[in-house]
Amino acid sequence: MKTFAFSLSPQRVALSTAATLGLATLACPLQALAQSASINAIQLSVEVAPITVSGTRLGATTSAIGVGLATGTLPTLNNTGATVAIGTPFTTSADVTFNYDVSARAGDAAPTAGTAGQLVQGATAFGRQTGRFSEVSAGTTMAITGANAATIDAGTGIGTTATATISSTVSSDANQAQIRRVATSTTGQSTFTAERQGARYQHGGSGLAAVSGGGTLGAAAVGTAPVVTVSTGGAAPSGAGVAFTRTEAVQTGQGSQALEGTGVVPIYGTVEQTRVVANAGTAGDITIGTAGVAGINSLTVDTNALGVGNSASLSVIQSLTAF
Amino acid sequence: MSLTSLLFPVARWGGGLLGGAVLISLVFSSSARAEWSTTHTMDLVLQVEGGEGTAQARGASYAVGGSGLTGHPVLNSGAAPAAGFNLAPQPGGTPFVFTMSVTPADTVTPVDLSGGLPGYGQVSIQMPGSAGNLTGSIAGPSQGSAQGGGPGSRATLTQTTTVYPAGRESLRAISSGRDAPSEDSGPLSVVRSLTAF
Repeated sequence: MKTFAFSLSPQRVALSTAATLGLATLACPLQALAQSASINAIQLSVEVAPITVSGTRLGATTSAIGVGLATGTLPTLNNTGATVAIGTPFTTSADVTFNYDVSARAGDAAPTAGTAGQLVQGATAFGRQTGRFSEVSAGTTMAITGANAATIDAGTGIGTTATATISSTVSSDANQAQIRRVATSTTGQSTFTAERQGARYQHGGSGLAAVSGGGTLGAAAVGTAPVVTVSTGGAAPSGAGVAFTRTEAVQTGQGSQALEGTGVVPIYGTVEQTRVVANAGTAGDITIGTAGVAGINSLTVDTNALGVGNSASLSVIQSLTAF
Repeated sequence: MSLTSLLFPVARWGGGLLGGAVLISLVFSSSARAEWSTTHTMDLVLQVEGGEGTAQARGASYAVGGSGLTGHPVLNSGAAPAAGFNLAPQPGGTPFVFTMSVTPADTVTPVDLSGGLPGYGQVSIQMPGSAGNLTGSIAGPSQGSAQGGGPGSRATLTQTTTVYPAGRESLRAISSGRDAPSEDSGPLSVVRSLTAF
């Protein structure tokens, strides 16, 4: 008896091509080979990205800058992150040029631990929050209807990715050829970053009557916003025909809000957003293989119905190996 | 002594070479005489991810600075202002600047594996997935269907067809297994083993 066993070395003559969107049908050279074995595989997948959120507990801050004031004290902070109100309102003398700008933000309250079996419900009141949101997919279907025939539809849900992969391998004693086609269609996730603002009051002027009670920022417990009280006095020119200026600006702060995992964005004054979380149907309609994967050599991506923030791709990798 | 004699002594007891030949034929015929074979497989995987999260505690910090001020800037050596801390601009309208920030420390707590995340100042959470409309079925070795679900879900439907033409009974092809990764897994491995007598 003689026994021979061997493995094929990868003496490869590789041919590769890549196609982008719009490539509908690919010529397949596999049938030109004398077949010893062939393997065809189709894999369809629909994945809805998870919802992720993160929160950062903010500390307390206060600042003040000014000139030309007669009396007054500054807002400060205590060791818990609460703000301490101005003790004495600012005052000015008549006809002076003055300006002051005070701002304060109480810190966030200490978060509490999540309840049993929950990750986030107890961890609330974060002043800076970020999130990525998906929706329950709608109209997302896929089916393999027979040998080498399949369809897939990404549907309309935000955060859905549909992927179709077709792999073909034909081997003979002397050759091995492979073609792999991958088509994807994605409806992007909605993302946001939001941060609560502090309260701020600005007041300045010249040629005015005396300011008897300058604007103040009230005391604020952690997780709340100081209340702004505007100035009294100083509203009229100090005399007939006197040149004067007066400027005032008020910014209302926000209290800290719960970190939600349900697509609820906190109402904060500073927001970055890449997409509006909306109900299904607004994300556009994407279909892979409108006409179906009609045979192993045909794969299409229909881009006609792409919505804003959606994407689709089709790639082909082809290789031929001679032994 | 021949190989057949060693393996099949019954052939000698059964009356000679003819009986041995028939028996050998029966043993090896299932593979040696296959004209053509095909294998269809269909896999369906429905998955809903669990939730996970991280929490990071932070220490305390305290900063204060200014100019042109008067009052009682009572400072202590710790990371917090002392009671009675207050400041005011100097008389006469002198320009002033003041900044202050306070960040209390988080209280570090033991991890409770049956509970949720600790109440720390920095948390990141992946919400538990939801099934939503996630469904799927396999109707036969070549047919199946599935529907996408809620956030954190995945449906995967895989069909594999392997064909071995005639006379290649010893050819073995190793294809990608179930739950094949989406990335290219590289060239297919083909191993041949021939045995001659």
